[in-house]
Amino acid sequence: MTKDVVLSPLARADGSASCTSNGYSVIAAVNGPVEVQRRDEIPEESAIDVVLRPAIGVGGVRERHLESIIEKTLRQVILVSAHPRTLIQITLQVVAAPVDSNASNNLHQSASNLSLLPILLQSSMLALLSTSLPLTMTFTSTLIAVSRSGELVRKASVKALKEAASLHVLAFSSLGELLLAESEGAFDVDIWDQVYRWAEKDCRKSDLGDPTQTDDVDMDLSKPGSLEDSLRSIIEEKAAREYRWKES
Amino acid sequence: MAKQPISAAQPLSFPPSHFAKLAPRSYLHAHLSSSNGRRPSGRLPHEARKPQINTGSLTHCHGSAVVRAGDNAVVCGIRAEILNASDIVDCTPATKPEELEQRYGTDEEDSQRPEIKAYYTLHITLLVLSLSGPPFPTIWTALLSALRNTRLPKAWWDADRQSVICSPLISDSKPLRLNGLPIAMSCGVFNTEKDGAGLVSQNADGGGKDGKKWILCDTDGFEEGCCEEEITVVVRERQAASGRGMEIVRIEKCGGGVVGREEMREVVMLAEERWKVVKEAVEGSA
Repeated sequence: MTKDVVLSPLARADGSASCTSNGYSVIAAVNGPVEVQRRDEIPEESAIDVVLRPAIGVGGVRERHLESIIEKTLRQVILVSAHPRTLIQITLQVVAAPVDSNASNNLHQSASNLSLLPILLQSSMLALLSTSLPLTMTFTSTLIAVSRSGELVRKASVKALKEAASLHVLAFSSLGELLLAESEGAFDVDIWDQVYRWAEKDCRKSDLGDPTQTDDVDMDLSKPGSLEDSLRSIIEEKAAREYRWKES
Repeated sequence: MAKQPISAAQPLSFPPSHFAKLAPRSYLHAHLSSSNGRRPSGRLPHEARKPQINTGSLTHCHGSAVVRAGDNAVVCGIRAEILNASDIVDCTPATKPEELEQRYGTDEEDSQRPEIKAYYTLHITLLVLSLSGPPFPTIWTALLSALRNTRLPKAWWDADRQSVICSPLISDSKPLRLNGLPIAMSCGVFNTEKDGAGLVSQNADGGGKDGKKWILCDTDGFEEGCCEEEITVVVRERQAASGRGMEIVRIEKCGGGVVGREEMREVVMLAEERWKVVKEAVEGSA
């Protein structure tokens, strides 16, 4: 995924990142801490304002819902108490969405919006890393679909997403906590448990593998690297680039 | 400065309601860590409120319900209107009638005819009268109860008048067929880990690194303000083909990392218990 990520593509924002994955492309910009409007001010913490703009048209109920999910998640990640009475503004623009996705029309308000969530979270995380805001931790997020026959699918195509029995978005913090879980469709706890293990494998650093896991998950050990590994390498690259002046 | 005898001064004290306003988190923590472990509302952490449901109170609707749970009150009214097939243009309306029929399980006479002349369209209006705590479970219960309460008049196509005629008799009307009874439960997680030592330092068991966590079922407005992490689980009875038991239709959890794998199992168990209670209330009201 490294090649699909560009850090700081926008010159005028405090921090920005653009991500492309699975047909979606998102640009995230972070501005902050800036002055906050009086009515949004929180005495001991900074307010976080997430603005999501869809690929086509203006945002509606779906976008507001996603914004609130992202806001609640980022509130856990940003050290909000370090900047009391300020505002941190995060703007997410969906640049491209899969042609067939429901996100392109506003007619089906009830249609799933989970497939967009991981990349939104991922790009806002990277944009935050590209600013110098102090964070408590990082997080990674992934989407897992469960097909009608009960098979788990990573990186599902648009068609597979439509036919899936259930969709799950999970986000794990760098401390190993389950930061966010959004699931829809019909499933039971055992399937969710399995999804959890797959998602954890996808997200968390690969050398932290839980030794108690012995079943089917082990097949995927050959996978190149987890999302957290690639997040790390992105940051390493960024640090190397920024400290180039020191070396020469 | 001459020191006044302190013992003579009145000790500073204020009623619990002030304490709750000034330091809500400490107030909730003091309640939860007391010997009986009850919340300020007198409920146990896992105890949910039973919703009060009244159905059929709106006379102009085909189905309606008023649901109260604590300080949450929601009114739902459902009106069925007839949509002539000839009035349907290709791209509008937003949701195709077939889908509507499928989704809500509308049981209408017209669908059995060889040629479909008209559809029933359900207009659902939800009004939140008062709000305290997560609104979704109450709103959802109101919607379900109203759908269960809905009766559609018998309708047929009159060839002479070239229009759909409805029977005025209640005995001719039919209830909707619902596809299972999914019921929502929301929980909040009260976590003292993030409050520095200052906030709850008087209590030996709270605050700091080894802070305590409580999962509070069916939070009210006051508790919601103290809980960052929120979980909503919707469960229903498994549909016939895939065997007996319960299945989950939705999980929403964000705002914190306390609930992991084991805790989620616990929350789902709670939701399944809640399902029985709310089901009883919904079915009892009809």
